[in-house]
Amino acid sequence: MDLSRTRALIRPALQGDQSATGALLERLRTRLVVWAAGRMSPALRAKVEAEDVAQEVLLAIHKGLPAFEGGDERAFFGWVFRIAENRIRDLVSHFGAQKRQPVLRTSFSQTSPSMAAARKEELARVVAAIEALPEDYRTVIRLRRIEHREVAEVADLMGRSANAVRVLYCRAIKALKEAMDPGAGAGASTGAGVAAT
Amino acid sequence: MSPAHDSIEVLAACLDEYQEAARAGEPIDPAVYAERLGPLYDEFRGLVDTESALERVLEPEESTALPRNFGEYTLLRELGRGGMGVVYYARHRTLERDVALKVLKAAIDTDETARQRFKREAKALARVSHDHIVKVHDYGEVNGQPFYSMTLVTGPSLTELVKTGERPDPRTLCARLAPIADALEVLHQAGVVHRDVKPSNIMVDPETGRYLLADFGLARSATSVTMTRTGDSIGTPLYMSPEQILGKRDEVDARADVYGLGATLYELLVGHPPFKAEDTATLMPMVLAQRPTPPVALDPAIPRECSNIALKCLEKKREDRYQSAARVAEDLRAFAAGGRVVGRPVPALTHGARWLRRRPALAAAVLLAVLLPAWLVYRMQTLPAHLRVESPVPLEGRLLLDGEVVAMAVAAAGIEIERDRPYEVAFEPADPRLVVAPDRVTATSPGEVRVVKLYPFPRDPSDLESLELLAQATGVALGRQPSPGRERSALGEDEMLLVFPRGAVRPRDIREGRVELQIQVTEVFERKGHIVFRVDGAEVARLPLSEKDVADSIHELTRVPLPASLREVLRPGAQVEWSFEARDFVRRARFEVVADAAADAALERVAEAFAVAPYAPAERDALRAAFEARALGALGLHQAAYERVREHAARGGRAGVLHWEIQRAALVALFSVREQQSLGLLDRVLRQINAAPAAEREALYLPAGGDQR
Repeated sequence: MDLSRTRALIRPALQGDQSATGALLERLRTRLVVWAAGRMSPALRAKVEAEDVAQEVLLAIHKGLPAFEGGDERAFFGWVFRIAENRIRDLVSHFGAQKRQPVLRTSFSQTSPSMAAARKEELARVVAAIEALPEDYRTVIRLRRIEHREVAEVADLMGRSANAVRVLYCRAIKALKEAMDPGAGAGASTGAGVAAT
Repeated sequence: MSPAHDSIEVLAACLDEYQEAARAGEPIDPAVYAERLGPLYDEFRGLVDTESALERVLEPEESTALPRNFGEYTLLRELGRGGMGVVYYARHRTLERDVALKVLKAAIDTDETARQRFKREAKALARVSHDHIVKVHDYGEVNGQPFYSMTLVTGPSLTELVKTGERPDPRTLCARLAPIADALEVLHQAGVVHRDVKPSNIMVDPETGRYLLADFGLARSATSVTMTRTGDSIGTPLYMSPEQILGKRDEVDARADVYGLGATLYELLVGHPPFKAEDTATLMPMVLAQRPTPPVALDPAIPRECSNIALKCLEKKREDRYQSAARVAEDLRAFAAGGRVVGRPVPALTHGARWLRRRPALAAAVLLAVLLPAWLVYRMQTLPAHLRVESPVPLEGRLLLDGEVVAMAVAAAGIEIERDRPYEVAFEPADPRLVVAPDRVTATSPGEVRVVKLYPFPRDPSDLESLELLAQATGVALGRQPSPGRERSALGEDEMLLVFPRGAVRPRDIREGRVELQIQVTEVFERKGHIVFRVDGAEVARLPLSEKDVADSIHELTRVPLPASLREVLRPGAQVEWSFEARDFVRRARFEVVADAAADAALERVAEAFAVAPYAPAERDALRAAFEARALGALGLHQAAYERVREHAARGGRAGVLHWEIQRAALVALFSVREQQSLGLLDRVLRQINAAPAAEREALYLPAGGDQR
């Protein structure tokens, strides 16, 4: 949960430091990809890739950055995920009416050469695992972990008690673990009883 | 609820706690949960690992692969890593110059003050030019990460030199260190305090063999981080001055560097730092309270004069050290040239043991010492200001002179206390026959002073009772009573509010963050069941002596016969003459004691040692118990009698006189544990103090002729 690198980039980026902005957006990209994987329904995913959503949101952030009023990283994250949420809503209404069309791909930082192949692989693995989770699990991981919200806030959003959110989150991580690492049979036997409740 | 359900709840709770801690920047080691979770622990680890995998994707570590570009520079390889920054071997791409590049660590660079300081010092350093200071060429920021570049010195540092096991000849060593002292003087003149002078920060130029001072501007913040946050990597306090260890930023000046230089000299002379300990918690009290073994005592081949230079630098109080790096340079050169060294460390006897030689002050500290552990820790974290109260006159109402009186003094002096700002109250009596418990005092509104008492013992209702009496006697409003415009609930459990009349005390010296008062109480006496305070003949306060617990404790602890009639009438508000016997006892104890300023300092050191070490409460209690056990041994006290005293003290806020002496003896024993001789001395001194009346005291001591240890 160490946000220090991202946090360190927010201020210079807001002050117009181009290299910091580039680095910040690059860091947000993976977060948004995972976020989109958690947010989109299977139906929507069939039409648009999580990576594309992330790309569009990044573009919007890039455009909107000069107008962002500032604040701590909470405020910044809040803003980022509002943009992302709006984009998802647009997509939902759009695809409700139309057939799939290519998503706009604008490149401000091209593909990132800094992103090592291993990291890309890990990202793909996480995205696939998250996409395989039931909706409740996806949501709680997205809100708590990716959007970095407090338990109370998540409880509010999901209409559950704080304790229920904690337990749900715990189950979700457990499920994620199994989805990411299905071969780990040893843990599964002890875990099964827990998950079955 | 099924067991399975229980277990997921437990796991969820632990996971949440673990995550929240990480979020707050104070990560918990997952191993902590091994015991708590038992068989569930493996599963917990699995969840934590999954979270980390997710986290690695979401917040990738900054690429640490080298070489990589950093602004105008290419970072080629890492040279070193400290609490605050990383030093790289780097190349300026356009100038094609190789430099040492220091980059402030990412986790720190969000702290704006640290960034500003880093830049300010880099700027100051860039202006300084000295043959023995590593040159700073450039400073700036890349992606919000401040850096500066220095001349690359590839030579080894003095640490490597020490590791070779070869001890340089003391004269050659001093001749080589003298320019480093010069260099520090130049820095100090430029307004920069290095703050981290140690062997690893002094490089040896491989070409010329001369010593070069390096690594600036990181240590200062490292100190404060050490004191206030856990989990951050900290600089080693091996070479840190006591004032740095205590986080007294205001006091860190050129003389802190003198300390570091002394520690460096010491290590080069004997092959290890002045203090050795396995961990920081053990080390810190040593730095604060223990005198380093003189180098000459470790190796007779080291000339005493040279040994003295190191010791003089390593004095605990900065006033006792060389007052500037230039003075150190002079002595280093004088010694190297075979001349006379001017600096002398304070003679050993004036430290620690010295005050044992005299009759220890019966006053000034034991309640203080008992209270200090909790208090000092608190102070270091939150209290920025000093409120010093001085009394030139022996105030004799010892048992009553604590926080309330200080508050009275403050209010009476008409000092403007900043609203809701906590002040530290350190009572530094000119005459140490005063005991004042440290308290926190804040003004909450004009004319009101908030007194916060921090109790080491379970709180006794009699404390409140006595305050109420005090309030009645002085006509003050007590905060526990609802007062206009003030909610009762605004006061914490351990807080009491007192309002005092103005006029009895004059301010002596008031500056930012510091207030010195002179209490003008010229007379204190007992009359008709009250202690009366007078200023220039006019009564300023009249405190009831009718605190029954005081009387009782004196009686119980001393077995001074207290007439039944007296016990009866010593009720709150009773108007009686104070018992002659009891008064005589109190007087006797006081009159036999001679002031000794050194005792205060020594006790302060102990108290600081108590406070600085991050003891858990249980550890602290155990520590204190150990001290007390030692004191008992030293004094030959009956365990049973002591237990009685302790019980009594634990029951009431007002500790009895003897308990108080025992506490003091415990501290003394702590100091003397290394010196059997002083222990014997102490024993005799305390016996002398406690000598009369023998009949009453014997119950507390072993039978006459008890062993003199």
